Amino acid sequence: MIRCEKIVKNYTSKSFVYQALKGVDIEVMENDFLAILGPSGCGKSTLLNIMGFLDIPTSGKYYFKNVDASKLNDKERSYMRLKEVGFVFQSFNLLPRLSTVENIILPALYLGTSRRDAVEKADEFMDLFNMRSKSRNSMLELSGGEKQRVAIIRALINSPSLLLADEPTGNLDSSNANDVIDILLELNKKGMTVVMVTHDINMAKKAKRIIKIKDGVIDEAC
Amino acid sequence: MKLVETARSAMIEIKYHKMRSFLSFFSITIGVISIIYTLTLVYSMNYRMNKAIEINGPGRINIENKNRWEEQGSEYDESKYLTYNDALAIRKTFPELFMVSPYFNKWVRFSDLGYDTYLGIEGITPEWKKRGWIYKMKGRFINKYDIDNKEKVCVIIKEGGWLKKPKWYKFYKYKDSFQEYVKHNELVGKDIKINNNLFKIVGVLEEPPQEQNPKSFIGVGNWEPNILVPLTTLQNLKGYSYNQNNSAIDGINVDTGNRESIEKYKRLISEVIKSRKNDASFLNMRDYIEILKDQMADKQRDMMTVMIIGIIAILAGGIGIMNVSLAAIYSRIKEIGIRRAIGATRFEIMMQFIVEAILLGFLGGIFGVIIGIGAVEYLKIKGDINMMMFRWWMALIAIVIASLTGFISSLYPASVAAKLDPVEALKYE
Repeated sequence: MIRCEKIVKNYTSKSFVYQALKGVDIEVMENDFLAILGPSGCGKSTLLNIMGFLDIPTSGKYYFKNVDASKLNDKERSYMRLKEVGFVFQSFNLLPRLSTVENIILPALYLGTSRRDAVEKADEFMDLFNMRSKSRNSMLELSGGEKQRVAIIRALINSPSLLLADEPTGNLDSSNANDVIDILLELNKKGMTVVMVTHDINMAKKAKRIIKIKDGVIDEAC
Repeated sequence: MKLVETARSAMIEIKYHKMRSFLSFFSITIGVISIIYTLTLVYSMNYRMNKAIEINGPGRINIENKNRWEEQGSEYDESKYLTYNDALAIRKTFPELFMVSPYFNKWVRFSDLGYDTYLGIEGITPEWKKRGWIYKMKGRFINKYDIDNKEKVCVIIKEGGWLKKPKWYKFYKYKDSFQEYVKHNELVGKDIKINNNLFKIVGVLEEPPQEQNPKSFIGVGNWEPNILVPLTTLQNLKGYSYNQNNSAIDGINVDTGNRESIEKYKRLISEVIKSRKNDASFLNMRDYIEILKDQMADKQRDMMTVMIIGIIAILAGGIGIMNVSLAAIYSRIKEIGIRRAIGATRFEIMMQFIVEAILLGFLGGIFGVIIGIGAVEYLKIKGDINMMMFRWWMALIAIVIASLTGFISSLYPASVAAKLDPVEALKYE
């Protein structure tokens, strides 16, 4: 499903060039659950951003379902983020002025789905994730675990084929963290391909595969 | 994203930042008020101008004596004044002219109205009725027989009153006694004493009500007589006028029938007068459009001032919106990053800010229209006839201008927002 070939990502400032990724090769098959493990600043989030069409590699090739990402323009990349990829972030990245349901349906609205259909679909997900009673609540009224569940539902609303989770348990207590991992495992069981970035070995161990990254290169794959 | 969803999202932002939103559309509101005022004035002036031309004739020329003031008191020299015979000569030389209407005004004494008063009357010929006819007539008008025989007949002009009296009218103390007399008496066939001469009232011309009277909108023509008499009769009547008891008349109104021929006939008429008097330099010939433009020049200056204030206010509003949009972008970088991450395109981000600014302009426009209409109604009550010409499409234009200002001023901030790198924006705290 995903193929990264010699991905290099440099961040350039006036005085120096910082190499975040130094030639990373990764392949992710359909229905895989890959955990990318590494310390802070090792380049794992950069890699996730490249996989999620948010960032462009300086060199190397990234293929998604055999489509060369470097050939896509900004609009096509936006469409890939909208339709093919769902993002879950450590800091939830929900819009504070919108209610739970408004946050969830946002990607569906960007896709052109009618509000009615989008809300209907959101309701189904909220039932599944026990969030229906909080559908009109503002983000300030939700706990961390609830926020992350909202973020996961938002990531799923357009039925993507790939779920990218960047430290999804980083801001949660252990109980909520376990709940979130259980949700990801459940989704994976149902056929979703999941790539999760984490620095927590215990969380990573729950994935099917682990790749360790250190200083922008793959240190170890298991 | 559908436009309606973008608008919904924009409304959430506007509501969330009520004070900021209010401040940014407030100057737009002021601009819209002045646009409404200016448009009403422009429309009213155009209407008045066109109506005046329509009523008074497209090829109207007013010929007067240039020196009637300067020569007052000196010995009368007929060769330096327009006379009734000059009018007859013009009519005879140019039978194709639509109207050649000589006129002559005098202040005369009325003594049998139950009180003694001096009123202005106008000496005319039957050609007078060819232009500016807005009346409902009872009886008959002055005819050629009256002119030829210097008949002591007169036609009274009765004011039309109001369909619905404006509020200010209550405070308007002046009552025209003559009009009160005309209003309450059946006059056709009666005699009236003018300078101790009995004149028979042969007709009454009733003006339309003020609201429907084009002359109330026209506001041109300095002298509106109450009584019309045959010009030849008036010349023999003792009274106060610029031209005391002699053959001079005040002027001749000519209508060539079309605008194009005005200059030609100005020249030709001048030649006719010159051939009769060896001089035409005493003539003051002005076409009607010139007169109208002069009379409207003051209003035009007022209008320009208000318009400039309006443009400045709208510009300030636009800059305000631009400033607010830029500030909003910098405070919403993270949000832009989130929206981009979940799939929004650059265009959609741009649209979000553009729609928000258009809505701000639109809301400013709506407020401006509400206040503007209130002001127009107030001025109407105060008796500003121009304000009676307010039309709803003016409000629509003002709102479109306001929304357009929002749109234009949002282009730069929106493009800044669209160009943000999603990864950098997501990291922004």
